[in-house]
Amino acid sequence: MPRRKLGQLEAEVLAVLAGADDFLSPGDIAERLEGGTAYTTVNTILFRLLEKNLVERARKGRAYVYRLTADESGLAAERMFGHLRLAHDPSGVLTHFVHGLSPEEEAALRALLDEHRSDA
Amino acid sequence: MSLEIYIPASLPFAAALLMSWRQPRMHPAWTARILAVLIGATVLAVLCTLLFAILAAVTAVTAADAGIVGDFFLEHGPVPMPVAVVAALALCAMTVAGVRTVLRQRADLRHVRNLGTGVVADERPFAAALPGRDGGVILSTGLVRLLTGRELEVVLRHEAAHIKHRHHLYLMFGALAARIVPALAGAHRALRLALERWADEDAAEAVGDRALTARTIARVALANPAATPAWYPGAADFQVARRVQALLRETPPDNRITGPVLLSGAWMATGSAISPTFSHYASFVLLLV
Repeated sequence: MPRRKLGQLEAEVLAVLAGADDFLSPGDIAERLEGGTAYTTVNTILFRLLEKNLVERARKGRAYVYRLTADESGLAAERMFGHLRLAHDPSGVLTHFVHGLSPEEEAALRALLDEHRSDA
Repeated sequence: MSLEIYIPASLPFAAALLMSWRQPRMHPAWTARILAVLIGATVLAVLCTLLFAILAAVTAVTAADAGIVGDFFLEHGPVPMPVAVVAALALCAMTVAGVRTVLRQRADLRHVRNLGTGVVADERPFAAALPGRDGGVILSTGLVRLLTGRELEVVLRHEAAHIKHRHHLYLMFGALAARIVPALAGAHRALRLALERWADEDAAEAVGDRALTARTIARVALANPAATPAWYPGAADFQVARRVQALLRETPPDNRITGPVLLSGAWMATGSAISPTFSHYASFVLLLV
């Protein structure tokens, strides 16, 4: 198995959990990850995520099952992102999902979506 | 001084400009790699050209020396002192800009590492990938609240792709290059777009739904308060709209053949553009010794 970075696995495990409606066992998760990730690795990742309050677990029989945390009160509310400069990240350290839109870009995006909707 | 000494730097720069202006219809992974090579080549060639001009001006080359190290010095003719002074000033400015950028990147990296990954309390819906072995994703409470499970999956797959392909290295490198050679700002923007598209394509493949991926990007972007990205002065490049548009089209070809061919072409062009400058430079050093 090519050694995957923990951070990448963490995001992938979260993605699998987000896409599932129900609790998943580590075995289910390992199955849904590409590249045959070991059960123990998945457990390690799940433990990390549990510590960060990103997942919650319940007992099912003798094993634990996990799902994405829906309860926001458990989140580290005092952990503010802060650091305005990083939110705009000019140095390329963080890769953001999207940036905010200028009015012109917002208009262009809305036009694009409308056009697509009328096609469908 | 002949104009030929500008050729090594202008060739990769022209290619980078062309590539940022009109992106060929290929998989963004290849676009990103080729752009990165061209950006690197431009920076190297510019630095070498400046060094060459300075060395050529301070070294007195005579016909006798030419026999030892080749006759291209004489072909180029002497470099006038004012040109060398300008070159030296430019080189100093570039060094300062480069060092400052690297220091700032290190400080930023330290800051986000301390922040750690997980959910942070913030109304703005955003997600970011924290690079490195112990990296992960940073999600805001605003994002978790905004999206459905499937949409959250898209975001997380997108960020996982960034970590997997080490996109932060491309980004930090591009940011550094654009600081050293400000004319590369456009190529840097094109590189950013290609990297986001690359992660989008990976996410769309993982969730198996291009339309869902497009919709998620649009939703998160539209829910974000309008930002004026200060590091893109005056550039309205509509990156989000272009990403959504590309996802609404069919899957790009994966360019199993054209991608590697173009990339190695870029490498070779880079090598042949830079090697004359290097050899000139080397022979000057020889002459000085």
